[in-house]
Amino acid sequence: MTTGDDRLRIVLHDGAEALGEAQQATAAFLRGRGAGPRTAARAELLLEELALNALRHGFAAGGTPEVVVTAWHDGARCGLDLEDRGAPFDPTTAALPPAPGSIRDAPIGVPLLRRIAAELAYERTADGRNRLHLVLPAEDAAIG
Amino acid sequence: MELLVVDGADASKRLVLAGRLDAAGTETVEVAFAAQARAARGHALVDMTAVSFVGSLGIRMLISAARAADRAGIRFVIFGAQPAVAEVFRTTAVDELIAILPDEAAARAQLRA
Repeated sequence: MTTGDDRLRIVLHDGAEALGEAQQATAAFLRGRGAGPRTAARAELLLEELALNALRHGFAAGGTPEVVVTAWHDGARCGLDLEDRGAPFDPTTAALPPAPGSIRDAPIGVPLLRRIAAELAYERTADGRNRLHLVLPAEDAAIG
Repeated sequence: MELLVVDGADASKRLVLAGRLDAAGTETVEVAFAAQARAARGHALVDMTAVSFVGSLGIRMLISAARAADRAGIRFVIFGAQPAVAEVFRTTAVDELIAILPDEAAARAQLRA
């Protein structure tokens, strides 16, 4: 984990404990730079969803799951950048599951991301990395 | 993450969660939580007053338990969510799938209705 004035960089491998520590460090970093509690909570929620998805589903068996998370705050806006070398996955265009008509069909991941993020940009880099840039909404912005 | 189970005189169970329901917290309690929710004979009331964070795995745990309860004819309600947790429930539309009430009195009133 490395911290600059406006950035916190964390390298994650599979492990729920480490992810929990990363979530809390991200929230503390954002709060320390002026983000409100809702913004910090949204960052934690999206970090868990995105990192778990990449670490547990993005890598072939025998591979070494790794996600690099950068939390950032530029004084006006804040968000998360995630990079990994897993299978290509673009959450900005992935098909949404059907709307939940019952408990059985409740979707969470991609709809959650799209509902919360104020801006979302995905790139598959030439050297084979997923790169997601996510801007969090303003503290008082209604979600959903 | 901690789970405390209080058996009610009316065969209901109050499942009290405390701590962070993040990935690690969920993995700590999910097996016991599911078993206890299934073991409720009438109602399962989930007390989230002391839960400061709910992540995606925690949401899935709650939905899975509610689904199992529904199949078994057990009424499953959640109460006491803190504002940040309540926002997660709204954002993920969990509140459209599971009855979520502000406090225990409201939850019990819902179950009596």
